[in-house]
Amino acid sequence: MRARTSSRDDLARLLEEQAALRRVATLVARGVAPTQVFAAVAQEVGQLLDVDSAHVGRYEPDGSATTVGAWTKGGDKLPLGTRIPCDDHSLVTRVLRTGQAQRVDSYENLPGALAAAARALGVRSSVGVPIEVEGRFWGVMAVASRSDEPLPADTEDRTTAFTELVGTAIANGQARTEVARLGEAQAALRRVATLVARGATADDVFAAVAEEVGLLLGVEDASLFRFDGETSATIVADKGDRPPDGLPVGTQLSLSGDNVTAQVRRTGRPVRIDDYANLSGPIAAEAHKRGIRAAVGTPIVVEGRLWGAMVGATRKTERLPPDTVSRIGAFTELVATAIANTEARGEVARLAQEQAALRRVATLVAHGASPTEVFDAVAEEMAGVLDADQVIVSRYESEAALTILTNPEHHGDTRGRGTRLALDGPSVARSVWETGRPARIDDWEGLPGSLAAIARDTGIGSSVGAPLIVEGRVWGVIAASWAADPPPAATEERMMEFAELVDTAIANADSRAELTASRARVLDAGDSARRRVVRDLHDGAQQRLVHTIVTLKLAQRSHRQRDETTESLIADALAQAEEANAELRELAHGIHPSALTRGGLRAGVDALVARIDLPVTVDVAGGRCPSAIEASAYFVVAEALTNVIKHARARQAQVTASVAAGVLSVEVRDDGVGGADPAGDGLVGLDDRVAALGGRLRIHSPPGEGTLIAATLPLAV
Amino acid sequence: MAPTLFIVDDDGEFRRLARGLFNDRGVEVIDEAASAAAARGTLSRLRPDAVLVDVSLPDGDGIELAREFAALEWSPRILLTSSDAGVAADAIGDGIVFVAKEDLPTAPLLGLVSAARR
Repeated sequence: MRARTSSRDDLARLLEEQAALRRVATLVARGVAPTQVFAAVAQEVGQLLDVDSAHVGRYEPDGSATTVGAWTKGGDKLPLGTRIPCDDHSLVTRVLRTGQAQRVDSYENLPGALAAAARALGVRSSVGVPIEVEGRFWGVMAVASRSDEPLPADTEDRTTAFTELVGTAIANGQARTEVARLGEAQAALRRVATLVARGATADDVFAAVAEEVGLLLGVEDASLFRFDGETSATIVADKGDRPPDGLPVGTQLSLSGDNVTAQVRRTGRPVRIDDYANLSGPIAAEAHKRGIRAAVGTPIVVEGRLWGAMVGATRKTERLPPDTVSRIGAFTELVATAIANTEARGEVARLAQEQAALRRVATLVAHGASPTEVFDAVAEEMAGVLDADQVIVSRYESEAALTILTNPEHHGDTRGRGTRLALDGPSVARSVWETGRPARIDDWEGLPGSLAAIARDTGIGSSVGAPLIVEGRVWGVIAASWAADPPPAATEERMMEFAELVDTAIANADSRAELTASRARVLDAGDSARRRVVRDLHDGAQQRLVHTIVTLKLAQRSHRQRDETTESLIADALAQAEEANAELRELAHGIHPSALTRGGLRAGVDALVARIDLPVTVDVAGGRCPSAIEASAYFVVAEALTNVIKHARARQAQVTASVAAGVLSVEVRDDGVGGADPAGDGLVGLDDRVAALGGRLRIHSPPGEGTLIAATLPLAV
Repeated sequence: MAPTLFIVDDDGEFRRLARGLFNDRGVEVIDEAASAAAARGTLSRLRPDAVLVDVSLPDGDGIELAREFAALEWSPRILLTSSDAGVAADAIGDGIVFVAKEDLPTAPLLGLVSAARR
């Protein structure tokens, strides 16, 4: 039986208490782990108060308490970690409920399992004092006695000093843990952020994040999912113990059923599931295989859209801490940044690639490569840029047929360059022909016609066509096809950029061909003119001159023989010689009239008009131009007037010529029957001649309304 | 009896001149033609001793025509002529002789026309 203390005993006790407190305070100040502090406090309190046992318990969210420190006089104690269930009548619960010290002076008549257990242990009375940490009731210190006498009335107060120290130790410990944890979290974030800043691939970042999250949260499994549409997701990272037949990164899973990932997809918000037992779906099945009990998932949002989910899962029965979601949050933001960066880099790289491809084709076109070279280059570059399985360039022969101009090079497609195909059913080519705009078919099933059949046979899924427009009409089509994947974004626009380059190449080739033909005609016209001159000389003047020679020789003989034919022979010779002279003059005039050379265009036209039998009004500016221009203008007038005389049945004609703004304009009009054929040799020859000097010839000759032939010739080259 | 001559040339002035020239030398000009086609039609009927052929005819090659006439059944003597002096004179063929038009006044026309064929 304890005696009442005297004041000297009080002082001694006080000193003991102070010493005990000091010992505990030293421990706390040294920053030892809380568990050590609990054990020390339990012992000091137990010994100081001379009780049979002292326990420190931590409250759990459900109101139960877990033993974290214990001391018993006899040495046998409840093992640490023992769970003391919530019991309305128990001391521990009452302390929590009231927030105040409580005592039980007798367990005799107390109901409840705890009371029964206490009686079994021989406990007669106990006192419990709350441990407060930062304003929250963190736990309880309970002392128990087997003695018949109830615990002294000051037990509560004396315990309180110790509970305050315990509270401080815990607060310190928590703070340190928190600081340590924050430090760890910061370090982990920094590691991942460095990866992102260095431009690591998205896959590398995903793997790093999963690893760090797993470590930080102390969860066994951390995975990242990317959502593919509404109904499935792909695993992009997976860290943790995986069963031997576990799913590899890149596996696509259905989002059906009820599990963390599916719920994140549905709600777009963080989700926490504490009991996986009843969850369903392929993702849950995989989790069950790994023995997952609980998991937390957070959404990954990239540029405003729900991209995927980060999921941390544990096998432990212990619940995941309540702040798990917010701690994953910082990582999910990093992941979102990495994804956005990667996608942006990918986009930039793709754009650069595409510009390079367009530049290569444009260079070919600028160097005047043949259309076939350009078609082949475009087919190859486009297939690379759009990731297409096949690109074909074709030319329309009519509304019903087209010819393939490039080799398809797709498995199973045996059509080669030059194959002709009928547009006998719906197809990209037919739509492009009809609308003159890009067209697309994403499903060839059930479509009639040979092109649809070929598409199905060669395993084509989607096709997109872009029109080739030359001189305002639909000349051909570029068709790109994909077997399995869909066409990438903006395919039609990107194909049109290539198509416009091809249009230019075709137009250039046509122009070059036209120019070559025109030059050939000009050369040919020159050759024909020369042959004509030779013939005219031979048939005309030369014959006359030979005749003159023969006659003069006869005249010589006649003179020697003194017969009467001399006079007539000489007259004959003279006549022949004069005719020869006239023929030569005509011929020279036809080649290049002297009037033109001496007096310019006006003189030449005047001389021309004087030789023909038709009233012609002449209004030609005086002055000189470069001789090639004057000659061409002269021959325009000469040819036009020849045609008037030969075909027009006109009553009169007008010739005008003037110079303005560096251009010589010549016009020949008549009031005859019109209907001149611009494809006639004479007019084509004029067109070539005028074009060779950089000018233009215009013919306006509606039947019955006379004819106008106009030429413009630039004076400066 | 004077040897007979047939003139084939599209130049009417020359035909007139040549007729006068040969007649003066004792050769009788029995007919003339302005084209190969016209000549072929009349020659077999008239069977002249000699034929004067211009190299350039409007409807055929005078040299070919000369060879054709030289091979006719009665082997007429062929005189090939031209305004040009440089026509290949040598190996044209048997029975064919070339005389430039301007050399006609001084050539031995009668001898050329009546020389026996070898």
